[in-house]
Amino acid sequence: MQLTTVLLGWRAYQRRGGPKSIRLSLRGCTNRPFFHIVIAPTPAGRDKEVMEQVGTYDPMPNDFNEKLVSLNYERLKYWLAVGATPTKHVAQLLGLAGFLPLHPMSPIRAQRNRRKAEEAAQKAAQEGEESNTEGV
Amino acid sequence: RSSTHFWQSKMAASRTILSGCRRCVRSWLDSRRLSPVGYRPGVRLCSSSSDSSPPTPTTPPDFFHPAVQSILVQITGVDVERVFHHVKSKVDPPTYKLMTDEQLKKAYEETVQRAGERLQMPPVLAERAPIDPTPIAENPELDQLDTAKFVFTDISQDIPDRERFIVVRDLNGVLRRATWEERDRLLQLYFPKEGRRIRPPPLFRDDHINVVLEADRHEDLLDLCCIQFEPDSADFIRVHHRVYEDIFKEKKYGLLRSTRHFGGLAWYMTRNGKIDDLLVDMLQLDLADDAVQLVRLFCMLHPNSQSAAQIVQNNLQGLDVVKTFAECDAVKGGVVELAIQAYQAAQTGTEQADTS
Repeated sequence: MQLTTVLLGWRAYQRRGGPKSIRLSLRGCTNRPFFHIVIAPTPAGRDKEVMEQVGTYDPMPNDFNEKLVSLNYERLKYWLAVGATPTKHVAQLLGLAGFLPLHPMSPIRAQRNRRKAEEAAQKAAQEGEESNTEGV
Repeated sequence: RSSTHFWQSKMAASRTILSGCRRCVRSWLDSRRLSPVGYRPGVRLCSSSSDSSPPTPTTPPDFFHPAVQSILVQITGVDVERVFHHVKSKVDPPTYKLMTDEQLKKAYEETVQRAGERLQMPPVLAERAPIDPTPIAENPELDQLDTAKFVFTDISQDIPDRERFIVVRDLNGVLRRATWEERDRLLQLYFPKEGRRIRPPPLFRDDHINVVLEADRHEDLLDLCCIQFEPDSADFIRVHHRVYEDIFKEKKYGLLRSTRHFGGLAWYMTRNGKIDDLLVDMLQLDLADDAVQLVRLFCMLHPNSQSAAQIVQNNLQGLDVVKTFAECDAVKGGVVELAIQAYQAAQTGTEQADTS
């Protein structure tokens, strides 16, 4: 056996006891992101040493303006019970799904978006007034 | 046999109780409580199929009633040439078998049985009620979180399609159940069925259906409809009714005879009292038994009609049944009576030809 194979096998054996994360692993291709929701050891790389896939998340909306998320609730319940921790983004998705309570950042993000939209609307209204007065 | 079963169940009970394992006893008690008496496993299409009691005079029978099904199967007929017609597929070199007469007969009977399985009727169900639109959760603080909705599908293994959770988080923060159209689309996306498309093809739009029906491709259209839509969806029922109405208008009953859709056609016609042309068609093809069965089906579905009362009163058999129907409840009674007379004349003519 090659040295690298032996090392990778030993690492995989060591990882079994460590902390696990439920997080997004980036797939897809250039200009087309697509995420798998995976269980992986926390110190591993983003796409490396995936133990199990428990869902998908498509960040690009489809023709019906939907972002599709699939979740294997059965396996998620098992991993959460064994002590896997979801990352911020996955926790927000699970909160939006109603599976976990709402993440505190979700309403904060919504509020920030609303404030930005209000400011943009006010600015557009102001510029509209200025252009009217200029004409006169 | 009943005594050995009695002792076996007693021994099973004592084994679980003596083992002392609470889980064993609990699961055994649950299985005894939950399983119905005389349970026989099998495929059940819907809950009403288990009800085989004879219909009372006030309630007409359901599509799945055994008496109705037997009539529809008989009317459909089995034309082996039609059921196993040539289909474009990969061609293998033909195989030849040397058979005795008995073996040939047995092979033919097996073919007829296989044809019967292929002629299994798609179910006729009422249109599905819309999914409860009341929100599961309302979170107005999530308004404008994103510019797109989120749709969450449960991809756990081994859950029936109807019970799978599919929820939508709208732009205003409301969490609701997905509508039937969204459900169909997403279930096809994550658990694809062969031949079904994620979005229904434009073939099923009303203006495009005309083109298909003019080309006499009713059977192909209904096959595609059965693949694409669920039996209780609005589109399934709309396409089927459209095809049946076209057949009724153009009198093209031969197109669906000996296909799996003929039962549904006969059921629709009988429920709406449009069976006169079908009876004439059957008599012209010398299918007198089928005509009699069709009128009996009419009487089962309309038990308060005059012909039903007369047939039951006088206990009529054979073509008298059809004659009574032609007099009492037929819209084009004259045409049906003419067809009966023509059939009887043809019968006596063939008898004379046989005897002479």
